[in-house]
Amino acid sequence: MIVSIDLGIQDEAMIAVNWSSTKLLELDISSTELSEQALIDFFSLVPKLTYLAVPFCDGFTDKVI
Amino acid sequence: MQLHDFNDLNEFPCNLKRLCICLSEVIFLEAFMRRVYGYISSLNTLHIIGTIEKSSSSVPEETDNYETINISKIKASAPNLRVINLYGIGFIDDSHVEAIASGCIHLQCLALNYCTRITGTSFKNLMNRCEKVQCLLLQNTGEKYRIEFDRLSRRLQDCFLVSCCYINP
Repeated sequence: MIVSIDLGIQDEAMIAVNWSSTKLLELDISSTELSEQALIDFFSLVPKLTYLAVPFCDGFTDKVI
Repeated sequence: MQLHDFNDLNEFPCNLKRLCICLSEVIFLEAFMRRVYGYISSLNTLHIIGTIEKSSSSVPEETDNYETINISKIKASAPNLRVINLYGIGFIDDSHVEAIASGCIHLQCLALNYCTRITGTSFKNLMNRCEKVQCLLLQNTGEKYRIEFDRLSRRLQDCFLVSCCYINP
């Protein structure tokens, strides 16, 4: 039996923020386990970013781009 | 060091803009910090470097639970912080970020790289209260553990057999 436990930033927590009302310019989510859908939701809300780092972020797919 | 009361420390720079503190796994900084809290209200930038690299070679559960520095007291003493960098601190979780959010309204940049207990539940309050936040660095805040119980039970069985051999050779 294999049990996977995900720690770290959760999709729900990321989506719960009203990013459209923030002044966020720079974000580094390298090596996080955020899902494709969470990132799609996030990028639809977040204002224009001037810096984004996503190495080893498997949820950052072509669809998100 | 934690046994030292720092009573002789009566002077400390009172107009510091930047402070960097490197933590140990076991040394509690409270005795030192108690002498310093009154002098750090001018801080703009705070770096606290945790023990992520050290604890990877030992058992993290045993060492990372100690809150060797009091984040709540720091945020209360340094309300003008613009940049807070908490790097690889095993005990930092969302309650600490909530504390920062409640005290540092001028915050512009928060770095939580390698703080693996963060789940993000505090981000809503953080972004609501600290409206000036422009930079969030969350590298390696996610961690995936895969526990293979079959392999684990085989290992335990092996350990048991070895122990029995020692008891009854």
